[in-house]
Amino acid sequence: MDYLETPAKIFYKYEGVSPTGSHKTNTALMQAYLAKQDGIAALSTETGAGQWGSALSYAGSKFGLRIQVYMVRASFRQKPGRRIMMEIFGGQVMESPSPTTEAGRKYYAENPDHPGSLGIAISEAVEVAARNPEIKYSLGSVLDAVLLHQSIIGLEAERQLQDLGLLPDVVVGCVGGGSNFAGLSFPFVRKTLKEKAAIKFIAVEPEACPSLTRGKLGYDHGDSVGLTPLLYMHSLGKDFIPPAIHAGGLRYHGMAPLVSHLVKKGTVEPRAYSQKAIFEAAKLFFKTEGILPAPESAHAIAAVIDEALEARKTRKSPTILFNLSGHGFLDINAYDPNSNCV
Amino acid sequence: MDRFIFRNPNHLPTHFYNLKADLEELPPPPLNPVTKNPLKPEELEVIFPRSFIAQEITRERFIPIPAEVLEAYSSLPAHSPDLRFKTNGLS
Repeated sequence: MDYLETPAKIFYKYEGVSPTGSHKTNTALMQAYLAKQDGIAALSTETGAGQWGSALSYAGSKFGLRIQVYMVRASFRQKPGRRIMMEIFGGQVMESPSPTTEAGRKYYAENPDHPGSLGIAISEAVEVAARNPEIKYSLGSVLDAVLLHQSIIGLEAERQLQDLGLLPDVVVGCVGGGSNFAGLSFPFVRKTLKEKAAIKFIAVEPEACPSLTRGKLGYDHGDSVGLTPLLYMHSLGKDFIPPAIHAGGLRYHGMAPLVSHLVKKGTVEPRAYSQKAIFEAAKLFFKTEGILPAPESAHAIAAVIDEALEARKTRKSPTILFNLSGHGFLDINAYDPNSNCV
Repeated sequence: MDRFIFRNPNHLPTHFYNLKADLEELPPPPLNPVTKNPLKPEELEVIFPRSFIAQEITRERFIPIPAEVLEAYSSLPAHSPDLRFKTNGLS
């Protein structure tokens, strides 16, 4: 950016031009296709900010599957736009915790305005799948197969940069469950493993939900009730209820086991940024680049700006690649100075 | 250098890449929440589609993208261009 006056060369893979505005369609289409091949009638799922729920609803409409979405209440109320989008694609959306499942009732009975969490919404969606043979469950992040599908982000970026004769020195993505970061970075991690390329990988999370920088590495459930298998991952604990930050997609207590593994090995550097810092970065990006980023993606931007400023100090000219995983037009209220910034 | 790098159809991958094929050491396996033993793939069938489970456990390096999904990816309008930040070329 001119504003940064940096010698760094900065590129971003923009996933916000997908039909629902984020990278989530990459795995949604594949998961809906596989379910259809298996003769499954419906998929249940959870969603935070709504990016995953809208992507799966879109994919369901494309491949002829019913989609049931448990949407975290904090986001359901903050981001009605994505609920509307899900419904346009035929998705059935429930506020979570809901009174429709045993898992949801546990929290709903305590407090009908419970803000919810991805962990609780996962419990509800898993319960629905476990109780109904015609419904299977679909997860938008964390699992190895989801990270596999998202690898097309990095594979395509790798070819595009190759055309310019470039290989990134720094690869950056935001992390909630880890899928957009992994999708961009894993093909480049391969380069470090196989070709000994020297690439710095930075995974950026919110200070309010710092699973990689403050969480514990060990076995934990993927959901709040404890219905899912135990995954070996960085976790803040399955009962952790993150504050209702605007980056709803990053409000998850755990982290993809493969991303956790790379952090443990020292391949990936985790960083946490405050909500205030990421919105400053996002506004600067909007003003200079003309794209309104999703609050989730703004975490990556904040780290890229720091890297670019560091390059100015060191007079080096690294190639920085980051994942601009989604647009923020449906998050615009979060940019209101009067909104509740943590 | 151009600011926009639009999708070249040749750039769209035909296979997914599986990092597990290249890791010498894998993360510890998922455990059954009740028995605490390593999870058998068939135990996941209660909640996940069987074809999805196959992709979850594979260690193949490259997994072909089915034609219908590739078509869906490639038919999306300007699905995923790379963009270049405007820099003032201090380098």
